[in-house]
Amino acid sequence: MGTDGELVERLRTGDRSAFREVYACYETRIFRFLARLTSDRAVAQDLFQETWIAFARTAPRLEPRGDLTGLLFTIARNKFLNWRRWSLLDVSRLASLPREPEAGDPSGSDAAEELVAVERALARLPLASREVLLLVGVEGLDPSQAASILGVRADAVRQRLARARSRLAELLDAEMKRDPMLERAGLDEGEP
Amino acid sequence: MTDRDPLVARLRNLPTPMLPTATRERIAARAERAFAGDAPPVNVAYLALVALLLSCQAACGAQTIALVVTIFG
Repeated sequence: MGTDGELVERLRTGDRSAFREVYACYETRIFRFLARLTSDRAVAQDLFQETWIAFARTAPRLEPRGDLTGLLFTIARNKFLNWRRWSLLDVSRLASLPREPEAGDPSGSDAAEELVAVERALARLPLASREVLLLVGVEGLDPSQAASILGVRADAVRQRLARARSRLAELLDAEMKRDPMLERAGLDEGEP
Repeated sequence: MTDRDPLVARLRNLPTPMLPTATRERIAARAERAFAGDAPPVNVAYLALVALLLSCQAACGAQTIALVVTIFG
């Protein structure tokens, strides 16, 4: 598999195998990002498809040193924001707005229940905090990359990240207080 | 925010949601067709309809002008 630079060069020449490589490389990350942003698999699937169609139309006109990661996450985020705007305008789509994820496997262990608590806490974060945590915390982008995706400065990303992190800790704490079993599971993992 | 941060570790430990293989392949094939440029028959149909409507409008305009010329010309 080529580097991003090589892939961009090949995409610019219309190489279909390069497109397949990019898809194979990024599809999991893009779907994960959208699924966590929307908290809804069906919506995430629609936005995922729209993201790739939009990328396919843009790819032959990429800048020579284009940043594939940045571009794909930017398109995915824009698709999400667009969907969210329409959802807020269209009362009939209110039901599909982001909501708390459904409770996980009811037969799950403490560890599985803890994961559900983390998912719930993440879903309850404000959008600005959630997206910065997903990009930097989960997807491992550096703050400058995240800044260009979010359209803010890198130091703003760092501030948002710090706020998001402490808000997530509070929410997770609240989730765990809701279920003392979860709190025990968290302590057992040997947190400092 | 590092990998040693327990909160980040928890976030990264969340199970990754996956699409069914068939769905992934269908979306990949559709996107690949769009990449190759053979996707937009809808746009062609739309442009053809617009052209038809414009030509009807032009014919109607020409008829009106001809009528005005016949009456007042």
